[in-house]
Amino acid sequence: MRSPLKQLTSLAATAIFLVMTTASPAISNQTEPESSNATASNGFKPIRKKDWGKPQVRKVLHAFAFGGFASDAQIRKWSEMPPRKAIKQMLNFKIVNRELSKPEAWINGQNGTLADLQDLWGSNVGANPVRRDRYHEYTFLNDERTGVRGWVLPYVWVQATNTRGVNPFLHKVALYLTNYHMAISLENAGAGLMRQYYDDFIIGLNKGKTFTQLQYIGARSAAVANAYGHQYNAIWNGEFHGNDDFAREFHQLFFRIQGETEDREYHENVTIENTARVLTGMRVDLDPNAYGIQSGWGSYVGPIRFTDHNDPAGRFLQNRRTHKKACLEVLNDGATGSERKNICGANASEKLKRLVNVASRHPEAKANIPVKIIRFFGDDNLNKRKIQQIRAEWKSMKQKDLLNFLREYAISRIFHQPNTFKYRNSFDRVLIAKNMNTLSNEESFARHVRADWRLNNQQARIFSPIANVFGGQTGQQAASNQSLFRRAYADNVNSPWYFNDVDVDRTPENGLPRDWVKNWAKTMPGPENLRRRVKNVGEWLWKRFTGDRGDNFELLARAQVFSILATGRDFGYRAYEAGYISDMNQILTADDIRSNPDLVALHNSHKKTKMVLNDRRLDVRKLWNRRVGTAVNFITATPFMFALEGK
Amino acid sequence: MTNSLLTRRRLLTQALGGSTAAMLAGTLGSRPLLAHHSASDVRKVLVHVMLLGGADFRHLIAPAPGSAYANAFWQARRGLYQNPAYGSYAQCFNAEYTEVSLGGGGFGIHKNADWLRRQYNSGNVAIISNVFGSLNRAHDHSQLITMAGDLDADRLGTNRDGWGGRLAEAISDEANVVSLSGGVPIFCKGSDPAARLDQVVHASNTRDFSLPKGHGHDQSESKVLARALKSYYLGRGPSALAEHQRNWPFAIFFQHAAQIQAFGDQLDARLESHVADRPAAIQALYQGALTDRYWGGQCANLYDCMFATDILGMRVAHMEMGGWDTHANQQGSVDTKFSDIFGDDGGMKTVVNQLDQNLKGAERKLTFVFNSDFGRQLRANGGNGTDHGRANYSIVWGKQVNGGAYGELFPNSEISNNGNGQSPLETEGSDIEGRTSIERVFGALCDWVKPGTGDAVFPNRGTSALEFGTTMDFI
Repeated sequence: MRSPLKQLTSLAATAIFLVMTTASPAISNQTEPESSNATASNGFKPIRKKDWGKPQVRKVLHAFAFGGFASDAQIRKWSEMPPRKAIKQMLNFKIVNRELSKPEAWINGQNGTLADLQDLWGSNVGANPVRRDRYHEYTFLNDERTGVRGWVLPYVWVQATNTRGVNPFLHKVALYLTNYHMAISLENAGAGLMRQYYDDFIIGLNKGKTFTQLQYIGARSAAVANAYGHQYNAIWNGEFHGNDDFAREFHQLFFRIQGETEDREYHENVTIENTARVLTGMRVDLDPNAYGIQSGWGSYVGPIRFTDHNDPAGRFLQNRRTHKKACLEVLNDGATGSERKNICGANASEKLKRLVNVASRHPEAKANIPVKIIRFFGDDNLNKRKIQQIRAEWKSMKQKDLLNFLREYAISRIFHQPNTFKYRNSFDRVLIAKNMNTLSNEESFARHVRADWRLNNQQARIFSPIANVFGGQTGQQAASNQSLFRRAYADNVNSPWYFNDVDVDRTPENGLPRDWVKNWAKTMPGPENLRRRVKNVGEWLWKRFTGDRGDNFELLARAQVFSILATGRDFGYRAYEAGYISDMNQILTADDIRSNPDLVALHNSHKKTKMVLNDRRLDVRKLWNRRVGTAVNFITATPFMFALEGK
Repeated sequence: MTNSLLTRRRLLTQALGGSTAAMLAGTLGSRPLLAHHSASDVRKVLVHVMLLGGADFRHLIAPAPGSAYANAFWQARRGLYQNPAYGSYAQCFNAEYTEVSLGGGGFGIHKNADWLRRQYNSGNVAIISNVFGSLNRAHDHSQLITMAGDLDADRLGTNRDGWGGRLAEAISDEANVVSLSGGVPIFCKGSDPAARLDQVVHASNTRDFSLPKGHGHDQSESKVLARALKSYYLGRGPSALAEHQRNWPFAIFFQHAAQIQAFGDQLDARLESHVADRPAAIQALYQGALTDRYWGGQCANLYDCMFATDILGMRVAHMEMGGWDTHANQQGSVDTKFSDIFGDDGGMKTVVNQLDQNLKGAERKLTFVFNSDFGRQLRANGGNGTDHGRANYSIVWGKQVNGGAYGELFPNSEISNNGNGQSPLETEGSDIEGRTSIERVFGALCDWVKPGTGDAVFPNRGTSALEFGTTMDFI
């Protein structure tokens, strides 16, 4: 057992090392999975070059990377590249993807794990960009150092996805793995194990692990053993003691095998019951000094040691002795020849390693896993033809390479065809909006907007999936939920500051290096000093936030956006103010506007107004930038923020 | 047409017909129904309560001691009763259960569900035994099957109709399913793929239902956004729907806004005039009297909605409670849940009593049915819990229920040799044998709401499984 002093010394050394060096030795930033396939697969047909352009690039970023942080110039570059070349830059599992999320100085040296980010953001080292009065929102240990604080993890994750230099695609895939496909909750796993679970996938993805290997990481993890309770499964005196909870969900959730291709009784009485015995001898170590805890009970820590040993708390854990030693028959019903293999191994880890390989080849797994993945990332309108292609693509990969699969899908014709659409769950909608509205890390850390509160209000709970082990909110669930729609709408109406605050003053308390003031002019395309017309700003904002090509930015949406940008008022108020209508609350249709020359003229005057977003006069600059934020509130509450079209 | 039974479909059809924005924003929103609303205005309402996770109703209902079954039951399940650990089944039964008096007794209902027991004795509770939907023991698929009311539901087919939605359609196009929970599950959805939510109202918080009006003065950003968004949604919605195909993905959000606008102000006005302040007992449900405040909030929503069934078109309602997947330490978990639902301070008793006091007679129009993913295995597992099983009890409450036990409550087959020298109660992995299809139970409930709808909602129920000697005349 390590002493508390050694542990602290080790942690401090790690933190210093990570800040000082440019890359963590354990993590590759150049990883390109060996199995990456540069040729077209049998399943997905790649989009034609002529159909690949900026809207398609933006769509990929919205669907796979919470919008990403690529500049307009970068988006144009990708749109001009062959799709397969572009997608390799856009979507990869590097810790830092410079094209997608250009780092700012401080990020160098981080390995992208939540633990690493938390160590920095909760510390008082000079490189920490977090404002001083917010450090406590990242620190893992409680003030008394008696335990860890799980409630900070959601915010750490949200901040990671909003930080330039962190790879948002990598973290979206890790979200899928830990909160949807192999979901467990913070409450059931415990904070330390939950964080480790997530970080193990970050590392696994970065190292190019196959999907099957990722499933193995999940299946043998301490977090899952604690969350499901099979850490207490054991063989005593030849008799099994425990439950079959994860034994079932291993198949049904991790591998999507429900036993439909097996005899029902065989599946229940052999496959499930024997899997419960595979999962014996998985007690999790308890460490009184985990994470720097100095007193109290300590915390569970992973990875599981599959031996008979004393854990740091002094408990004698008999993970070898209590494991079912005999080979076990699992998923063998209907298997023939060489496929008919029992699951052997000296401990649970060895058996699980064999079992994941058997399970991954199971016909139900091959049929269902890829559909589940695509439904999460890209399509809520799957049909038989699309499902056939998805399955064929998955089947064509000898090694189940998740990265290559997602890339091929992202540049496939079925993803970009008109009858494909994706309802955005609250994670996507809230985080895309936040990322598109955050123009620099300086802004992200100075403003310190708690998107996790908004996510929570809209039923997107990171590390506490709303359907527990069945995962977080889906796009379909979000779209059907009228109350959720109303909440999202009301959040924008009731809290305009969320998008339109434009300044944060430096104070001794927050320790900011300087006052921060918003400047959209630096991000919008075109020369910096150009006075931008409202029309151009409005159209640019619409595309940036919704991912829509602009088809849906019709007269009524334009009337409101242009009015807000030009005057800070809604179109109805402006028309009422000018005496063109008698009630500022009157509902106006497009025909109402078109048929009234005064309203047309008013709209045109708004459209032509020039905005000076980088005016030298600070108050003027703030005024214009604030109006952009108010327009963002409007745009992000329209229907086009709630779904992403395929075309 | 009156405003009072305006469904989403009619709302949109009319909106598309030409009066559009003026109708949506003006007519509907500005004429709240302030007329007195009494129990006689309330029509029959079926409340579907989904207990998510697989509720072990064998823990709610237990055999009286002294029989061979009771002995086997105790041997199989004594691991569930750990706090305190009992020396005998009689001791356990006396401490945990109270024997019912109706029909000669023979079984007990958990003491934390004492209101349910008294209601059973009064003939208001039907316990239908050995009811099955899913046979696969998987949560997601089993919930899908139960919510859809379709034993053959495709496990990947999540974009589909539910039996509550089909029931609303079968009643009339003026009937709606009201989801009182945090989401709108498949149970509520209708059969038209392009219009699944046409007859659904989502009332997850009846006190925060209408479109936000913004705060501050007329020029405040909040007011600006409230006006801009309302004008946009209601002005653009009808034309957008007319311009696009029915499966246009954005249609649903225009529909949400239109529906909230149509119902919201009227609901606000009705609640203000009839039940401005919820009774203290109702408030307590979501302010700490119950362990599960989410459940308490849904009960409060139900109470409110009973004062506005005409506005909402409510004929079917959906509620839910999670946390029934009790693989470990089942006793501690289910005891509080029984109490929250069926206890003397629980949600059911409070809502029924408060309606009796404040909208007398309305409670007689309500029938509740309690379902779950599946039942659980007969034997306790090594973690003092139970693992996934298949068949279960269906519990139905209502003043119009023909109370009693339907089907074999504790099947003799569970203590008979199953061919390998053991009885199911002695065999790891055994569960309750499914004998009666959910289609039979749910179909009868549909017929109660409106005669003749059962066959429309469950076209195969006539050939579906029914336990020998059992009739579905519980209502």
